[in-house]
Amino acid sequence: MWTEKYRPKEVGYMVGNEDVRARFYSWLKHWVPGSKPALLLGPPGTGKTTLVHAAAEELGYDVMELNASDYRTKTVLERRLRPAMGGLTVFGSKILVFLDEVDGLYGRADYGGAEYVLKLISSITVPLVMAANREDVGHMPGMERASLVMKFKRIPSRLMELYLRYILKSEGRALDREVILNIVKYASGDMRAAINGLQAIIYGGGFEGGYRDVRMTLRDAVTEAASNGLADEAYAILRTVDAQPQEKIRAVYATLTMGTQRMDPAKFARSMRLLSEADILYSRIIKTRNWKLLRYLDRILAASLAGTHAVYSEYDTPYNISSRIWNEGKVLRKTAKVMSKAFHVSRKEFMTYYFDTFVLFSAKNGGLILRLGQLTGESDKSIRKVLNEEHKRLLGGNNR
Amino acid sequence: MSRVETTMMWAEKYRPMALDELVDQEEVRERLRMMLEHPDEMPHLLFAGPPGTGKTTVALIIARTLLGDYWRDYTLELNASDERGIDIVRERIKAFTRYVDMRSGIPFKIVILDEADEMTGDAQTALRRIMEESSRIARFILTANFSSNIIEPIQSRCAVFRFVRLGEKDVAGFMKRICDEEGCEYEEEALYLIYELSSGDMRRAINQLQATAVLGKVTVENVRNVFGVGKRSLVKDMVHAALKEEFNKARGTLLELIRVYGLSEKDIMKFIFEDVMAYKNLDHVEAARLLAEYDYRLSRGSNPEIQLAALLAELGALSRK
Ligand SMILES: Nc1ncnc2c1ncn2[C@@H]1O[C@H](COP(=O)(O)OP(=O)(O)OP(=O)(O)O)[C@@H](O)[C@H]1O
Ligand SMILES: Nc1ncnc2c1ncn2[C@@H]1O[C@H](COP(=O)(O)OP(=O)(O)O)[C@@H](O)[C@H]1O
Ligand SMILES: [Mg+2]
Ligand SMILES: [Mg+2]
Repeated sequence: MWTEKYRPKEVGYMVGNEDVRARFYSWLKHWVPGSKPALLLGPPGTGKTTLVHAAAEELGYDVMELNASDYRTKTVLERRLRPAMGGLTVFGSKILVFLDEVDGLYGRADYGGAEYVLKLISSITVPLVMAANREDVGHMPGMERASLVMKFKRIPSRLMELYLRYILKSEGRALDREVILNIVKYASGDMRAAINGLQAIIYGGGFEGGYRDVRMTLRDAVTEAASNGLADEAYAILRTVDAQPQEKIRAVYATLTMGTQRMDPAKFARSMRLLSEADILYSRIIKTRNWKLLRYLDRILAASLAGTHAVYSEYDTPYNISSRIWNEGKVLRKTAKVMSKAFHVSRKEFMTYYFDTFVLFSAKNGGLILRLGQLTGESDKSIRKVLNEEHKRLLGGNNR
Repeated sequence: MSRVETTMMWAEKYRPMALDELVDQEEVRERLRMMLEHPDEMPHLLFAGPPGTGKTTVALIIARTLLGDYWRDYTLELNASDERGIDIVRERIKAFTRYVDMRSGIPFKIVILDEADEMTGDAQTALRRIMEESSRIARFILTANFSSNIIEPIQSRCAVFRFVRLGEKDVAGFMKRICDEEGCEYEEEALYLIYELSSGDMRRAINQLQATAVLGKVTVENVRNVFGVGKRSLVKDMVHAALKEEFNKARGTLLELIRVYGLSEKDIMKFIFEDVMAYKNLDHVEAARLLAEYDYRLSRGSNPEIQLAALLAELGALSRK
């Protein structure tokens, strides 16, 4: 793979982002215990990972790297990082801890991971470097505040062209300038994509056509994929979007359920079945940490959307239900939390098997409502209101 | 946490306080009785069996028997389906089992890990070491519906007790006792109907009984009426809408069930099955295949709501055929 073969080994051989490279190099060179960690932010294929490895090599550090593919939970992090806390490897060389793709560090699967990293930031005794593509993920602002942020920009066309020519020369190959420019345009500042494109042209005779429009938002892509009747084309659109897999699944779920009217039931069922399969695939990826499987996800999601003519929807919940979730739902969740303990069952079990009967006996029980108020921190007025409404619903029977 | 009144719920009020009060589970009771004679020799315990068959009840009985009046102070009761992550293991459980802060006469502390099969793999793995390290200070009692969801190294550290689904006569008999105690009238037949509707789950049966008793006499008719109200009836409405190809309406109800009421998705699935199978004009074989598929997907997927929503859409298509 050319992207690995031509990964620069020295900071000076990289192209673009000169100022960031210089700042990072100097940060590492002058690192002392107590220095802030470095956080490299920027689009894919601009040299973040490369820079860390190259600078570390030059300054005599061993890189202990953990990326989204091999660490997830807080425990794993802790276990893997513990040896680094002493500062030296068994062979006596210096250690640099590199947490790549920290924006991918969230959700159920990474239970406690982000919190742990935040804690780590303030306590670590060796140089810590983090890298991420996105700044808009939940825990990222916290990490930014605690770190020295270095922002990468897309690689300018002129420099990309130079680097591609250098590779061609090393490989003893030649290409028309027009073709090279085409690749550069397609890559939109992502060097990895450009090198992959180059290799595909040399060995495959061509690369997936069209330009990658990196500015395509999830909204546009989902809308366009849904209006395209061909799954392949829907896929080509969807894969250009730079979004987390969960976000894509959520967006397709919201769009299919909120943005379709009077679809043929069989066709709609097929779309939902594919969405269900995408969700299962995603869960398998998380469980097995087999990130390679991600490449199938866009295909399945695209097939699920294609030809549905669904209108993009950001929300997957109708307004009237959202407000019930916020208002009553909050009181009910807290009640379940308290009462499930009292009945030695889980919260879900309480809501499923006890709640209806519980309502019959508690809606009129002033003492219990007061007590619930104390234990849940909700006002007894709101608890009484919710229980009364539930009571009415129950006695109103099933004619709702 | 300070206590809340619980006796308004019969399932709680009539929870057996001693092994003798338990119905059925002969084998479990026999083995436990012997074990309780030598508390010092007691290993960690794993109770496996269907819901509402007495697992948690027995765990509480053991705690009370061995720890006496102060059992609450020396028992940590956690429900793993509420707190499934590794943090709970590493923080609460570890802290609880680390210190010997016991009064004399207490053989050890007890950790009851209810529904342990809901714990994540990571959490179970973390637990494994703690169970060994703390064995001088604490005993673990784990309960689970399926022991196969408990990782092997943990199973191998426990004495496993299998709880069986309760029989018709036993459940009906227990309900009769409750009715007599509460002074509520009942038709014998109604009790058997409750048993049927609650499939051997004593908890479900008692709650059903109590809800019926609110209407007055426990008759077959009233049992059926009660079955038609509350969250259980929402599921029925949902299935009805789905089969009528009113997907949006059906999913609206699904959202209510999951996000407003926080019902268990697994149980929603169980109820959907009961309701779909009660439909006349439907290919029951196809329906069963579909439900089996989605039951499986529910356990595999990452977002249960998406799985159930997809099932509703597929039910709409199925009703067409
Ligand atoms: N500035 C650069 N100069 C030369 N080659 C580069 C540069 N940036 C990236 N590349 C090429 O692209 C490949 C990927 O780069 P790298 O792993 O550093 O990207 P990154 O910024 O960490 O991206 P991501 O955040 O997606 O992981 C490298 O192996 C190298 O071939
Ligand atoms: N074998 C039993 N004998 C008598 N009552 C039982 C038995 N099993 C369950 N119950 C009743 O059902 C309720 C739930 O039982 P529990 O032990 O919590 O079930 P689980 O097996 O799900 O932990 C208890 O409060 C008790 O009233
Ligand atoms: Mg990288
Ligand atoms: Mg239980």
